[in-house]
Amino acid sequence: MSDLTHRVRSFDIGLLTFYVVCSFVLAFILLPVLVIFFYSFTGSPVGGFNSPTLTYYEGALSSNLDAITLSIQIAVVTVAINVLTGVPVAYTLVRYDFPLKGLLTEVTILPMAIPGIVIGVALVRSWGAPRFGLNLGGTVEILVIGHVLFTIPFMIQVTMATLESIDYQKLEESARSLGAGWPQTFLLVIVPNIYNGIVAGSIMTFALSLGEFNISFFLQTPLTTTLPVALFGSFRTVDAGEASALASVFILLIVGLLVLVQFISDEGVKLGGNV
Amino acid sequence: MIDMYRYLAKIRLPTVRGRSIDGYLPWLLSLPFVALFLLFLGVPVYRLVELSVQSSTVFGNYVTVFAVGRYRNALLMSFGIAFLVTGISIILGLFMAYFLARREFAGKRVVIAIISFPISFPGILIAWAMIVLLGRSGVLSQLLAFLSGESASTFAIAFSFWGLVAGYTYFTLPRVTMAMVSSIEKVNPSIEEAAQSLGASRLQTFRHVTLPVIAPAIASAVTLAFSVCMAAFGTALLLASGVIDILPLMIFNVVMGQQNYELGAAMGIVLTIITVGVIYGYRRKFGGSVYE
Repeated sequence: MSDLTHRVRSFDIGLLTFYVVCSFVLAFILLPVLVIFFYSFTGSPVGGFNSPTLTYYEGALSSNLDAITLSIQIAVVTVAINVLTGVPVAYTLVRYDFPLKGLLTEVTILPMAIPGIVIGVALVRSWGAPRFGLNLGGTVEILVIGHVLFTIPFMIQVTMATLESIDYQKLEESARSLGAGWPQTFLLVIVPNIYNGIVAGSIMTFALSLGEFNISFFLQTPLTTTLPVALFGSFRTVDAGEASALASVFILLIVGLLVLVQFISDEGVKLGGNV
Repeated sequence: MIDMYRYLAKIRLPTVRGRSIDGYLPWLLSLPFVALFLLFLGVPVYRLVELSVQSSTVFGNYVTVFAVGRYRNALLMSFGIAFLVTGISIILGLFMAYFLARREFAGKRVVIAIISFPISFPGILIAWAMIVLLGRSGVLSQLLAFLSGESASTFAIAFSFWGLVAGYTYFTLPRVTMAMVSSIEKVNPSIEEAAQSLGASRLQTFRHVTLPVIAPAIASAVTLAFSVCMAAFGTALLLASGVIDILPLMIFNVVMGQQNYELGAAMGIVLTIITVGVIYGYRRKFGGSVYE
């Protein structure tokens, strides 16, 4: 009885409004994605519907294979650099107190706050020409650097959050009191305990690197076209079917990676970079 | 593996003048990161500032940004779109987030999954989503044309101001909704129950109890939405290039079209001061990061 009255009470006008608003928002988010999937099989419906075919996927994949491969290669290297430089600095910021710690913490999120287009132009104008004996202009290396700048704040944030969720001090003290040196403590005690966070951060930054456009757009050359830049090109020139097929491939890649993150860690996908 | 453990156990860190190197560890561990940022963020930004002051007078390029009509209007248009989209997203997002955090209903997990999945889409993909939805042959424009009997181009708003607003809302709304859901979940529900047991209605409880507690979270969401909208480039490049001038598109035109790097640098610095200013301003005032 009381359960029934509770249910009747909770079905109020507020909840009803929520259902209506929620349906509109979900439709707004899902409808275009479904249409893109639909177009990827049938092409644009202008002049009547065609029967579904896979030719758009064949076309999109064969003409963009280089861009897809390059994007995956760049993402792999980016993740490796993120782990090697981001995890130690995250550990330092959580574990130690030292002068300038506050400043260093502030600096780690700086690339999220600076617009991608500004980072892109700044990188081109500084490292686009030979400097300090390094000639990075138009190379894949400068793209990797741009992607590391864009993604490393996420790696650091996820690692710091994971470190803060474990009792690392107790773990370290136990390891040290049992005679372990610092390298042993770090690699065999701390790293295995934050492994999930590191893997989640890696997948997340892999996905972000795959989708990075604003910085890459200024750093790329016709020989170093990444997947999002190829997407941009196909949206402008190729027909709707092929562009949608490439977009579908991209959406499935990103969504698959993010589902994987959800399984590994509860550090969700609420972190979103600049668009 | 065992050999590796033994090897690691044998390593004793070197000492510096009798002191264990432990004291230097924070510096050693952050060195690669600091070097990376100094070389590839510090040097480029310094170079940009240097470029921006290269004109007949030191701040000549900055004066141009604020004094010449089309550049100033691009800045104002950027502000306008950012304010409008932030407003729409916060109102819709707060409403959604409150119910997602506080009420139980069937399919809640699915709703959260759908709302959070476009967060990592790049801007150009969102532009394409708006084109298939609201372009000349977009499904919504076709549907509305079919229902009203008018031509589809009447409803094709993808390449206009409202198309840009729709695209920006597409990436802003999920971000602010998910940020506010986690903040509202952290509010202890017992204070809301206390208010209701004292006779407050749900709306009164929200207005006088929940809202003051989550005010910093709303401020955080406003900051995030505003800075992301100001910085966004990909969506606008596909939807509004040559139609609506916003600051990032103007930077692109000045740099790539006119090859005027000095003026472009000044605009870039102005844009950076705005986005970095709001984000670090939030940190100063409320503490914590808007990206958490």
